[in-house]
Amino acid sequence: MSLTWHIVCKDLRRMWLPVSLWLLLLLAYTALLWVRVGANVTRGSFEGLGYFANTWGVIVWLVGLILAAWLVMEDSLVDTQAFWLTRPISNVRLLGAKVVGALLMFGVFPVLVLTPVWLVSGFSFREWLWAAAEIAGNQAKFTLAAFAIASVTATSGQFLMRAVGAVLLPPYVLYAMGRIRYPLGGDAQLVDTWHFLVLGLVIVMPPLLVAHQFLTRNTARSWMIFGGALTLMLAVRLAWPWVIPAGIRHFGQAAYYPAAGTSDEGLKFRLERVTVDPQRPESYVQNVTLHGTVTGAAPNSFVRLNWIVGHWQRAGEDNPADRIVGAGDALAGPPPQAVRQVAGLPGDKETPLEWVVVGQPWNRLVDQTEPKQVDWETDVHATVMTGRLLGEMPLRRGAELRVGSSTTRIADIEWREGRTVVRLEERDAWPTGLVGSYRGRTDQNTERLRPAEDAFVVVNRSLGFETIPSPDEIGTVWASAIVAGQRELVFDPPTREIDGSAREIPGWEVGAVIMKVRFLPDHRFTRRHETFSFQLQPQ
Amino acid sequence: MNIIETTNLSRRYWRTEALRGLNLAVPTGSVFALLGANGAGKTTAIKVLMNLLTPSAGEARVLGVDSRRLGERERAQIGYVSENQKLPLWMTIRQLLDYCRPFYPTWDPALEARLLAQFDLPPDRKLKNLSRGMLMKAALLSSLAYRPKLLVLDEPFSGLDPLVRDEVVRGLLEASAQGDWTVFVSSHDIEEVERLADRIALLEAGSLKFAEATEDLLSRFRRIEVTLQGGPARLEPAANWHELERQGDLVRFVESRYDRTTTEQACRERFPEAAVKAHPMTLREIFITLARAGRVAKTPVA
Repeated sequence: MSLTWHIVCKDLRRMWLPVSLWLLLLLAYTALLWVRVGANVTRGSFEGLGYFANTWGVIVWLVGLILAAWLVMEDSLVDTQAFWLTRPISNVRLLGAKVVGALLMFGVFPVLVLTPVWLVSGFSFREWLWAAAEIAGNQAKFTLAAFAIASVTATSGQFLMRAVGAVLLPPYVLYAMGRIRYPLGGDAQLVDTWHFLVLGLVIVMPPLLVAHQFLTRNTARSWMIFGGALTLMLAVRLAWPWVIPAGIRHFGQAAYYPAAGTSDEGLKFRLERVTVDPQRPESYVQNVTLHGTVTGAAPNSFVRLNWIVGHWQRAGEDNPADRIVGAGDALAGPPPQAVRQVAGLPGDKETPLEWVVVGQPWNRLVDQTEPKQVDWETDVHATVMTGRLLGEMPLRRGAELRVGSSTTRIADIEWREGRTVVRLEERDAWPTGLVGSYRGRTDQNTERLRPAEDAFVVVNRSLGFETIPSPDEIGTVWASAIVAGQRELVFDPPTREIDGSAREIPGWEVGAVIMKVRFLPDHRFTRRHETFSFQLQPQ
Repeated sequence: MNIIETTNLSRRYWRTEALRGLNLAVPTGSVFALLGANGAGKTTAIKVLMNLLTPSAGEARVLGVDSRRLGERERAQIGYVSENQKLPLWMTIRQLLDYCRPFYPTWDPALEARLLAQFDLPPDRKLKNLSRGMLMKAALLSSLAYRPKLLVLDEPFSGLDPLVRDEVVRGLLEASAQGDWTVFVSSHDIEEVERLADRIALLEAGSLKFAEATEDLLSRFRRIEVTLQGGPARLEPAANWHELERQGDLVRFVESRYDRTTTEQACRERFPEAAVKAHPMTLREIFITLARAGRVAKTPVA
């Protein structure tokens, strides 16, 4: 047995009780939510369940942070009275032992503990793998933070003070990135460069500090590394004048364009109109809303616009003017046309899918005094969402549709003001990495992830009735790669003409089914230099 | 051959110089005691030797290796016991020994068993439930069982009752009699040191006052009593006289470079008609004399 493993075993023996309790807390948190959501929770108590989930999640996170710090401070790197210092344990061996211990305690053990819950939930191997990676990855972040603080800290009191003090770091980092109080009229690429550089420092600094402190035990110099990194961040924000090329800043992101010969080539983006928020002419920034359409999506799929980065240039003006970065509108559900295609229902001819992007110009105000012809150059970042039919279930209370890890149950059916209301309880595997980059292609950007989108179709084939209700979200909770929630489907029942007025067909629900369609992010792409030309109208 | 050597070793804590140009040589096989009052720099010296602190200047070599480069191989040959060491109190004595054992290729299970019995330690009791004396014995056991070439003890007797002190000293003496090892002990518990040490060094305010064989030290210090029998008397101290005082016809002082002929001659020059008696001193008396001399030297002149 290697001496490194011998130290790991010592730490495990030391911490088995608190780590076990922490794992129990994690398991209870996940399992309890899993059970509660399936227990026909009402709309009113969902909010409480959400608070409960968040609070418990934070507690689990905090306890994990403290345990990781304990693991380091068990063999202190600062205290000259530490036992290990006078024993034949090299600094490298200790670092190795602590890393292995942390991997086990905060990576492997949580995954092992949660695996039964995931298996009971019907996770596939692929979903289990992603969920495990997500749990371990999240824990790795907290553990690294705890390691960084604890490795330069002598006492538990000091650790707590410093952990609380670390709360100030995120706003500092955001400021250094240019995300807080960004310069109006400034060069957006420069701000993006700051973001890139500061993010690099944020990623590099903690492991560097930990490795340095473990290998040298030179606490003063470790603090200098920390202080130096903070100073560098500020220096980047205040004095860095050079723009780093986009190819470097967005490695793996801007490089991906629709491959020749694929269906993405046929997609056509069109900008219909641009409106500038007239309500806030003197405000800090103005909203510029871009309305457009996209056509040419492959069957069973639609295109979700993620964001647009671009600038416009007024006719006759040389200098590039305002730049807009906008996020796509993700709130609208999947387009009915695509839902019908996936559900195998007869569809209309393709109608353009509308999209809306709201962004802010980097310059203070948009000149709206006179109409101007504007040329718009842009990068469009979009995700192709591909749908599949999960299945169908009869429209009756208690009916259940279970496909892999996706469980949908009809909790209740009621009639409200002449409309039918179906309350659904749902539970799914939801590791962000999986739903965000479903095919897992290596040539795609996985930085900005997009969730899966579900749609429902109510069908009575004998009556020829079909409707796609808009799901009304009651509540959703996430815990350990499981998402559980409730929503209502509200729709008008089928009617027929009786005595000159439309009346609900009696017994229509017998033989009716609910079909569930899921659109998953298939892949994302960037389309550059689309040029739109539009008229900016005076307000 | 020296197992520890320091050359102009210094260590600063901000503005305080805890060690000043320490030059020390500890011969292999000796029991070397580092004496000094509280704050003299003993613990700092040991921490630098053990690479718990880095020197501000100078160099220390332990087992022939720069102390800053002490690796697993060297540490496997060094035993270290300190009154302030933070032992893993959650372990039982057995767990402590089980934990330590694999790190030392030279671990001797027979010696471990014998010391466990000799120190009368309950193996299944947690360290946090042990008395201070037992804790020290447990630490000592975990540092003796692999027969280290060098045993470093930092104030090992501090806070122990006389019985336990005796047990610890006997344990050390017995252990050292069985092997060719070196003991480097810092303490201000002089009686125990006197029983153990064959070489002694004195630190004062971070500086080395002397380092020599215990025998030589004891032989060069004498308490001198001069009984005046009339005649002139010049109460003028010689260079190596300390604590010179007169009470009636009796003049007392401590001679730190005692040589019968030279001391008597110096006395006759000052007290021509007097009887001179020289009394041997204990290490404790010598230490107190030197400590007082150090304080007098530091007292500013008004």
